[in-house]
Amino acid sequence: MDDMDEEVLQLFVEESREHLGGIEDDLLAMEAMDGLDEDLVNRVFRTLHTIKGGAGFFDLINLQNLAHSMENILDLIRKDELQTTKMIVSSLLSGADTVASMVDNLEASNDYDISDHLSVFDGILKGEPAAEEASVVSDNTVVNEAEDQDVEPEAAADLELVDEGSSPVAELIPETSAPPEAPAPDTSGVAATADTETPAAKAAPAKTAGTGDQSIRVHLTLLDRLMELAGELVLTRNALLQSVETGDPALLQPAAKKVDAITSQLQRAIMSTRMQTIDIVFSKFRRIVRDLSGQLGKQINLEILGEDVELDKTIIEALGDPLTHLVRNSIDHGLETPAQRKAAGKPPFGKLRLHAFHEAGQVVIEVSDNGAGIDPKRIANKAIEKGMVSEEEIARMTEKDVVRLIFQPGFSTAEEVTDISGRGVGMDVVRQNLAKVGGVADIESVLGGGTTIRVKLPLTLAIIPSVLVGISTENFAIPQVNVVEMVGIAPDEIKSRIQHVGGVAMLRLRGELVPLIELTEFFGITKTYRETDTGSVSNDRRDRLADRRENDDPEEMTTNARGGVERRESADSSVNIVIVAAGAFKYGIRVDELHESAEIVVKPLGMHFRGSNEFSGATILGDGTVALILDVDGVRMLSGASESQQTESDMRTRDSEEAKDVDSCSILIIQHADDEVYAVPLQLVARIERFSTSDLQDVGDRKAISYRGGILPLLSLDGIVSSQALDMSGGEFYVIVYTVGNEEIGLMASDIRDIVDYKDTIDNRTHKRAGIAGSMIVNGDILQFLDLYEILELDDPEWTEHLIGGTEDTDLTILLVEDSPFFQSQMKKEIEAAGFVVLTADDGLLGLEMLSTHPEICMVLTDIEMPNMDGLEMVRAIKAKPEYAGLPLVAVTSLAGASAEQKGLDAGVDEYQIKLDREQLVDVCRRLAKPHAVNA
Amino acid sequence: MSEALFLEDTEIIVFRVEDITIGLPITEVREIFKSPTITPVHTAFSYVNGVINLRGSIVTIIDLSKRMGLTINQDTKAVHIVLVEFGEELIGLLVDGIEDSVFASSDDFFPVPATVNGADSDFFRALFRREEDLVAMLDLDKTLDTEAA
Repeated sequence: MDDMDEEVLQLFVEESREHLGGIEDDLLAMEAMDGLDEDLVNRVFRTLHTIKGGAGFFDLINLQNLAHSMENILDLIRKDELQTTKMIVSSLLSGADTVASMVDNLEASNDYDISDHLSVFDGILKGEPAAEEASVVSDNTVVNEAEDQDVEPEAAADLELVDEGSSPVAELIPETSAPPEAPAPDTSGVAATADTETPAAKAAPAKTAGTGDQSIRVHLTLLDRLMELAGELVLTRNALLQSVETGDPALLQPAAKKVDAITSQLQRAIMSTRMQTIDIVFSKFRRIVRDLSGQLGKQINLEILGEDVELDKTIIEALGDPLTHLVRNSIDHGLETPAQRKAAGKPPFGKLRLHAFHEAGQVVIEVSDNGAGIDPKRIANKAIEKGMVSEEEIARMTEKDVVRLIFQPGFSTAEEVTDISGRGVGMDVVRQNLAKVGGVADIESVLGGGTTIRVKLPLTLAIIPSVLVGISTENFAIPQVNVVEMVGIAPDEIKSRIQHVGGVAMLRLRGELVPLIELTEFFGITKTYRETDTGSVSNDRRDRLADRRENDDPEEMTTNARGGVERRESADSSVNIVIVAAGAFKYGIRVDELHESAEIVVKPLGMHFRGSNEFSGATILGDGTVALILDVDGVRMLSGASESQQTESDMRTRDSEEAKDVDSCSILIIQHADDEVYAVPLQLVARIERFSTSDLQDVGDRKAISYRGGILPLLSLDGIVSSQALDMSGGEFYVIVYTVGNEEIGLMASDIRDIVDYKDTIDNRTHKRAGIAGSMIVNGDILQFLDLYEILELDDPEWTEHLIGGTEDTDLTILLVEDSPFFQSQMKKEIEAAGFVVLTADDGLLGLEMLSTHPEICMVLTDIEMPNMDGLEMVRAIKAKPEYAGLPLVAVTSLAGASAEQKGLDAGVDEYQIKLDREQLVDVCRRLAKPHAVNA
Repeated sequence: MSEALFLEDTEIIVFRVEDITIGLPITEVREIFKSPTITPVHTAFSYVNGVINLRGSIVTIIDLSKRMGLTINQDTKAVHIVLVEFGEELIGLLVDGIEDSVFASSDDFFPVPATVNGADSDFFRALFRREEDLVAMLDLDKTLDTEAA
């Protein structure tokens, strides 16, 4: 072996691995084949024959012998002299495993003990399986298990998921640790294999080292495409250089555009070289399902869908462990034995389905079974027992949320395996492993009907959409998937919204307390660091965020205000907070600046960062500087935000979810021109239609379109709120249809961007102008919130008046109780326009006060969610006083929900209305507001 | 210290970190450049000064004076980066000044004393006698090792 030509040997190893890659599937296909499929058998035969030949050349006797004896069996099958049985396939499979293991450890291959294999094959060859089958099979099962390690060392990581009992599956686990490093003693006897004490974790790296998947196969056409693009890039570079030299701006523009286009194409092409089909992961499950179901006495049909879905190589590699975990869970705990299934009135064959598909720019993998499902009660009991949640909390949770508890860290640890025979063992690990590659897992289970686990994955890790933020002088990127929302807190609200609870800064966010992490403190950013360009050391007299705001000492203010870095210290600056989610845990990161959202290219960090979990990489910004990418999970762990805090805040979230819905508002985001987007309240939108520009007609001086047998007058934002013309370059445009009076109006838009649930306050100060009711930040974009009635009025006042009908002034007074300044001013304006007198109050308490001092009030409109005293409480208080009997009380919400409505009616509300629906609002005022004689 | 001495004639890049004159064989130096803006980072290693963008790659910058626990003299300005290859990674060493490149014959190397101007001898492989002064030959393995730190 010493003289062997390394290069040829390497070639042999690579070739053998490639052949062996397909042998498992082929053998499984042989088991299933009906009659003799000569091509199939020949393929397996050739594989072994090639390996045998190579092994002989290199003097690898063991490998040669094993391949030879397997080849003999296949020869018989090929000649139709031997019938393939499950047992034969099993022995061939385990033989192939050993061959693969030997190929990965050529040096040690002669130390492998293959006598078990050889004797089994001999037996088959001699045609005595019938007599010996029973014993051979039992013997063989064990060998088979012993060999499982080599194909799927991932199993090692799953140690905890299988019962420690005496089931055959449990035995399989310790054996996974028999690593290729010491093959000889371990495989020598079945008994010996079982007591290997090598740490299980070692098996995994051994595999990685063995297969060493550092090269990748790329299709020639793809390479040609890259070559072509590189060629184009060179030509464009020349053009670019030329235009720079001649200083001709006319040439520069097209060249720059071309560079832009080629770069994106190049990027896509190079990315696609990294893409691999998910089949690589899925295919090994055929074997796992076959082996496990056999051992557990279950009958399982495996269905694999979407094997050709492509994902980044890195993600594919990281998927193996968690998916194996999920599949094994399904087989072991989810699917029942045929007897159990029969008793439950199900067909004996359980179904396990692996399905990969694209959804909304992500890849979704579903692992679903039609097994027993998960009993939420057991999960609940377990969680209570472990002190993760209280009984009251469980009572408030939906069943789905209860089942989700299995993803919580600490829900299961190894020693509890025997305590709980349901699902959810080590699911936290699954979730974490998936999170490492940007994946998110969710579970849905029907008791008695089966379980589906959905895993959402990004297509690639190399480029991720992120939000860029500035903290002090440093820039960070936060992956978009982790960003929940961005919150701006006005200076006067800081004191009330940011509080310290047990030494932790907490942000009040719609009744929820979200912990804040101050990265400057966490990283010690500005405390002392040397600026390389100036060499100056800046000191920061940083204190707790809220304390700082409370400090009005002018001297302190000036001290802090020196230098731009401390700009945020000044009293009149608001605080920006990015709310991020790490698993189920939400927290806020205070940032000084919100830059932009961008697709960033992820660059690896060096070895000095290996221990730094708070960063997942770095990226280079447009100006050439570096921004580190925050690992939201890592930051949370290091910040010491505790688990109890997590569950507590988690529960709070659930608790307030219903209330939150009441105050959230669905908005439609439309695009008018490049970089010009607007928001429209979705409740007002009747329909969205798409038309071709050729359908446009001119009716009078107005654009219109034939639509549903009539004419739909159209409205465009240009000239009203936008200085840019509507972008109709695509030949098509969208029309947002809404109703004014009894007429339908269409607002033209170049594109529909999104529909989102917006849950934060709408800023009605910054961007307030005619036609624009306010502004909001969604995913980092600033949106202008359109006032649909006002834009119509701006466009054609007379027509609007004709549509709405003249207003008759009444002297009826309406009290409007609403905490959001945006909604308050908006509704006030609308009701006033209809001729009413409107008084306003910011919360329930103030509302009651108003009511008592203004007897002329003849109707109350109130929001539900408000600080100090909420709407329902106020309604109850009003109802309790006889002097207000008969006073119409109307609740206004931004999103009506049946349960919220019922609560309101129970409290004594007369009607429910949607905040921004002007027509309905005015209508309800006209109907209900009547002069009353109670106090008059 | 068995492998401490250089057996062959070597061309050496000489630079300065605080009061120590340090040398590296030119074969171990990939590039020398003026320090661009360093993005500060926060790692377990206080001597990691930050990262820079070097033609699209992220390069970790090590502050040699901090690494060796030297008293930082505020007058000196770490302005140059000596780029070295370590394993598969490029790492930048922040140094106070680049002095010279000299040719050393294998006879000019000596074992390192216990400390070299305040720095532990572990960071050095040998001393080299330049005409009138001594140059301490940096041991990259020890300096960049992240395990022992």
